[in-house]
Amino acid sequence: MVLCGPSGCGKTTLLRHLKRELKPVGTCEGAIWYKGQAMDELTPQTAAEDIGMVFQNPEAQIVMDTVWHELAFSMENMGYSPTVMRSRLAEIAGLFGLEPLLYKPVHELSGGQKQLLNLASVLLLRPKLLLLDEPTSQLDPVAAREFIHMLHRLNEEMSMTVIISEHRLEEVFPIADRVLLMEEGSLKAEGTPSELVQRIGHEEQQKQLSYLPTASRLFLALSPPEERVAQQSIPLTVREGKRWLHGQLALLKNYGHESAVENIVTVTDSFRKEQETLLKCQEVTFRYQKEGPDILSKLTLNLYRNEVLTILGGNGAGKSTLLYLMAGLSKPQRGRITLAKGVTAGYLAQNPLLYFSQDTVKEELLHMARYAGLSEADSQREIAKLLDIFQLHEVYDSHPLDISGGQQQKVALAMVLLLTPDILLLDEPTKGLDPGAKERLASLLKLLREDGKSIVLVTHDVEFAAKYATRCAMLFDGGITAEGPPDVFFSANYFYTTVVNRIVRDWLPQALTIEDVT
Amino acid sequence: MLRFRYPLFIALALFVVGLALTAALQDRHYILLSLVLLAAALFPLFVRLERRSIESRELVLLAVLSAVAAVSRIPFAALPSVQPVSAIVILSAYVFGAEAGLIIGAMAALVSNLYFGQGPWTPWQMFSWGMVGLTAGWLRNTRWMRSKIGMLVFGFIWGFLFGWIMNIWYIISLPDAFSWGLVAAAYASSFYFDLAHALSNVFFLSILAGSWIKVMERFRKKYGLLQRG
Amino acid sequence: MSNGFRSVHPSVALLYYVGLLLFATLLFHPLFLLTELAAVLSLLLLQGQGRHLLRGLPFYLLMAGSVVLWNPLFSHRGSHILFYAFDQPITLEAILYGLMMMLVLLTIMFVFISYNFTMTTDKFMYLFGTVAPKSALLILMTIRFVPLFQRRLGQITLIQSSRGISVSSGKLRKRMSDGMTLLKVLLTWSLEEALQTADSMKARGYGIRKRSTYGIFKLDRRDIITLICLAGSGMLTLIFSMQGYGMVEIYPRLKTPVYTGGDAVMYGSFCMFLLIPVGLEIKEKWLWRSFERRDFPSVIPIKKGPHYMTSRSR
Repeated sequence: MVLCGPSGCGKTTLLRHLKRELKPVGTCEGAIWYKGQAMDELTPQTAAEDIGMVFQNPEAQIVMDTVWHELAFSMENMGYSPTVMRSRLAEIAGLFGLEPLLYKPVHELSGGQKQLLNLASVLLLRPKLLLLDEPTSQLDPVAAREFIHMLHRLNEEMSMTVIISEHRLEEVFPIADRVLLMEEGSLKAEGTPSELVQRIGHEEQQKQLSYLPTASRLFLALSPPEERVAQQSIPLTVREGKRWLHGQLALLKNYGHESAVENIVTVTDSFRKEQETLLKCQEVTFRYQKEGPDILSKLTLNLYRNEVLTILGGNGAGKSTLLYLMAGLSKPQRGRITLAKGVTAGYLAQNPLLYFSQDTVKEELLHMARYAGLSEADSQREIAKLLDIFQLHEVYDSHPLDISGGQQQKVALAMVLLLTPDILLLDEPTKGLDPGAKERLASLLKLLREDGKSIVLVTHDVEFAAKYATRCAMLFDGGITAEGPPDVFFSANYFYTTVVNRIVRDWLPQALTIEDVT
Repeated sequence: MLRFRYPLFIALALFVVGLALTAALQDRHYILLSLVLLAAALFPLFVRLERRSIESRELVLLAVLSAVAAVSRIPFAALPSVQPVSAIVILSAYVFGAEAGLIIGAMAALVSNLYFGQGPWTPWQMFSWGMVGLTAGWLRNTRWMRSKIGMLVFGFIWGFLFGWIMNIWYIISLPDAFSWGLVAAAYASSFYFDLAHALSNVFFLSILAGSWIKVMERFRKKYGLLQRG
Repeated sequence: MSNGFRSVHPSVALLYYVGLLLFATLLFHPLFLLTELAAVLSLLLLQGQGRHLLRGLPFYLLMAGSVVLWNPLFSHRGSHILFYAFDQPITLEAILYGLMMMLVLLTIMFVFISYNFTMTTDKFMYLFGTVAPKSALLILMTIRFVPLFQRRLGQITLIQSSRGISVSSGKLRKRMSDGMTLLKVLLTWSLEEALQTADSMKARGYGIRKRSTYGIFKLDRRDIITLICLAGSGMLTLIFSMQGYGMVEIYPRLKTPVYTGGDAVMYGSFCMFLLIPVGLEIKEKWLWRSFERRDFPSVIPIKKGPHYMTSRSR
């Protein structure tokens, strides 16, 4: 079962109500039944054992220092005997392939491994119902896919009931039995995946449309309304989408889409020469320790005025490190990073909490303005301007930790902007955002670009890069292996490209988004 | 094996206590005795911790504060003899009470020594920082600690007291040389370190007490625990 | 990475180290102290801790060596006056006493180096957890937080330096208050996230019933034999020591120690106690040597680690 809906629509609250230990404080009406027993009447032991829950942040859930200890923690809580613990641990470690990690301290694990560890630790109590609250939002795509595969296996092989709330629907939609769409605290729609696609497609609501997997959206966008009735044919995955398109090919020809293929002309990178170079990385080599491996080696990359450059790359490829270096926060051992004259760079880290040291948003901004060397009047004016752009007036006097995650990100961005940088360096700004929030972020970036800023962003999010970037670069093995405008860049890739591109590449090799196809 | 653990440990402890007493009385070997006394001082702390049922949030809160105190030496590594741990322990005890202060102080010493290396000084540090927390917690509702100057004086005194307690384990290894002269010499040799400690306490408390207490009070409400008694 | 003495059951190791500390403080005799020091040193070297020892050596020598100076300056007991310094009599006894005390302190510190290597945190926690499970839980959680916080602090330092908060520049006053600001950011962030940790503990049934302990250590036959040998020889030494053997009298006047049969027996059992772990280490070394010879009789020595891996592979 998949729960979806925008952030703050009550998904987490609902899940917490299903887990008795974590029931939120507040007035609660109605009743929840588990196996014909009211939730409040379960014994503490059944409540803890039968219902397992995994949360969003992989790091914060871990209690113990080593992997085996973390795994044993839940069993120790239930007071199992050592022999029971031993055999269960052996079983789960085998299932998850955790043996090589068993004696490692948890801080050496990657985010994906941590989240798998959390799942394994919950499974040791043999729950019948598994609740997951956006478990993959902090993971990179590869780790997220692996995690969801694991869930699918548990569901298939052990027939475990899984309730998951997710923003990343591409993978979970096809394997779901039932999908629930929530909005503002109530259930908006419910049904099997294809039923839901059909219903949403019927109502033509843009906002909800973004929660469907791309293949389905493509289907809705391309097929005329009368055709959507045939329920079986709704594609959910790339394979189904491609098969469906294949069937439609004859139709497509009739509609004259053939010409569209020829219309797309390869955009050459001639525009570069007219552009002014703002930042130059020349053969940059960097490592953290003397003995350590090179994180970046002989990397060369230029940034031009007024562009949105996305840097893509796998986990630990050194994307964040590159941004640190560009921002001047650390120095490369070899090579040079030069900024054009009078150009400054501002860096926004993944976690906005890193920026807050004062008691209110107001003080944060004032402190930053003082550091930027603005006069009293100037800073008042600048801050007022930023508050308008980011719509932060209502949180101006709140504590920075009392506001929502999205607002925190905006405040941190506003703080960086007070330094009036020409280049903005953003580290994974779309991590954990729901589709709506991503679009709002994109329009914000557009606004900044119109304001004359150049933007570099590092991301795993292929779809976001394809839609909003002017140029993409691939970071691999310490260097830039490919770069170019999104359509050229992605059509040259086979796997690392958007879902739409993977579906339609036989016909429209350069189409990246649904808008490109229609 | 499990069943025999408690009696085994108790028997072992009693044995060492007896040994220490006789050794101290007969041959004036105070090292062993001092360790036993320290253990006795910290013992009630662990007993209380074991017997109470602790909320998970409370446990997490204590762990976070202890860990912050333990890593607090890192940013000041560039500044020799600036010692932030005491100030953090005092502030935590001020907000969360004597018992929490004692635990945080002792934990911070124990855990930071897991990284810096355990030694004969570990129990002494646990004791000293534990006492810093305990006394700060006891005095937190008095008018003296409520006033800013009172708190600064408190920090200043503990800066010296801490060094003095740490000197003891060194002095008692020379039972025959024990005289006011030796004490004075030992204390004089550590005077500058102690002064630096005391002054940094005063500095940290005077500048940051307000904002740190605010942060901790905020979380005390948010966690909804360890209410002011 | 655990072999030799490091692989024994934690309780055996604990017994050995407690014994070492006890004897170091109880047996006030140069022969015993020197023997113990030599045994601990050879154990350290066999465990490959020589470099570790060298690094801390200046500090240890300074600490222990100062005793030799302080004692005769402040203690004037004893009948053999050597000379006068600052109008104070310096006695032979006081110097000898200081030297002995130096040996005691050095031994204690070396014991701790070996202890830090052998008794890793999880072993200590395993023993501690059986007597005080809640305190052990608290300690473990703190231990888990420390490396996490170190990393966070690194990030915070980097980011906050972009807004001028840094400990590496400016006046001392500013650097100190900036350092505390960094810590405050760490505190706020961590307390915020720790709420989730508490939730995850609760979700996994913390506090429902009495916790049990999962141990990865098993007491095997070798451990039991070692335990018995250690306990036996240790007890024997202790009994003799209570009888007054193995002591030299320095104060009020130095006496030439007389060796009796009792002393010899005591010394024998003491040596046995000390050398059991050393023996284990040597046996282990020998085992691997012969193992490698038997399995790889070729003349070409095996290279340690795959040499084809370059520094770039992670």
